[in-house]
Amino acid sequence: MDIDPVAKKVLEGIVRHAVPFGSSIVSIVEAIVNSVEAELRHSPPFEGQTKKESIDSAIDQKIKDKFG
Amino acid sequence: MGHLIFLLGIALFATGCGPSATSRAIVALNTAADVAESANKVLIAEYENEQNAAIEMAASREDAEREIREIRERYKPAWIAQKTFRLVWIDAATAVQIVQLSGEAPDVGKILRLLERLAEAQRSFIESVKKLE
Repeated sequence: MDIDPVAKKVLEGIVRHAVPFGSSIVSIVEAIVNSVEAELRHSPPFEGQTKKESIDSAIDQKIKDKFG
Repeated sequence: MGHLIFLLGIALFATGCGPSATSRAIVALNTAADVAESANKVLIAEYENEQNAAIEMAASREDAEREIREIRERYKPAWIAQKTFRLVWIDAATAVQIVQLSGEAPDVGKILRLLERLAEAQRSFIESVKKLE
């Protein structure tokens, strides 16, 4: 089963911090935020993901391949 | 889910609850990036699939090129929103890193404004992707 990575971290955090049943919303939220590593990710978003430009050039090539 | 955590992170940052201001800002930044990257994967897949399908169905080069032009035009706002999000994220992350490196107390008002801009950029990006689905 695919689990959202953020949701997984949150659930792990709630279990790790042993948030008791009936806790106030503030303490639950604090546990959630505390559960996520407070280390800034090393690269900006979309780094290493497929770029629009590379899709465009692959598509342009496919048109050439199909229609000459 | 990730978007909710991002907003909770900003709320905690604004109210001063929980861990240090810098840690709260980092949580908000990381979560915003994770959520945007999930949306970006959908954007990339849809963009590529639609164009491949258009080439498959086209009867001539002219048809294919016209279809591809239309698809690319329709996706333009999403790519602009994606670039904007990335730039705003880099802006906010740089401000937080400067605080971390200097060891000085963060300018909470400034970081909060940057996180609010990030929330807005994230919302625009996700909405522009949803419109295409």
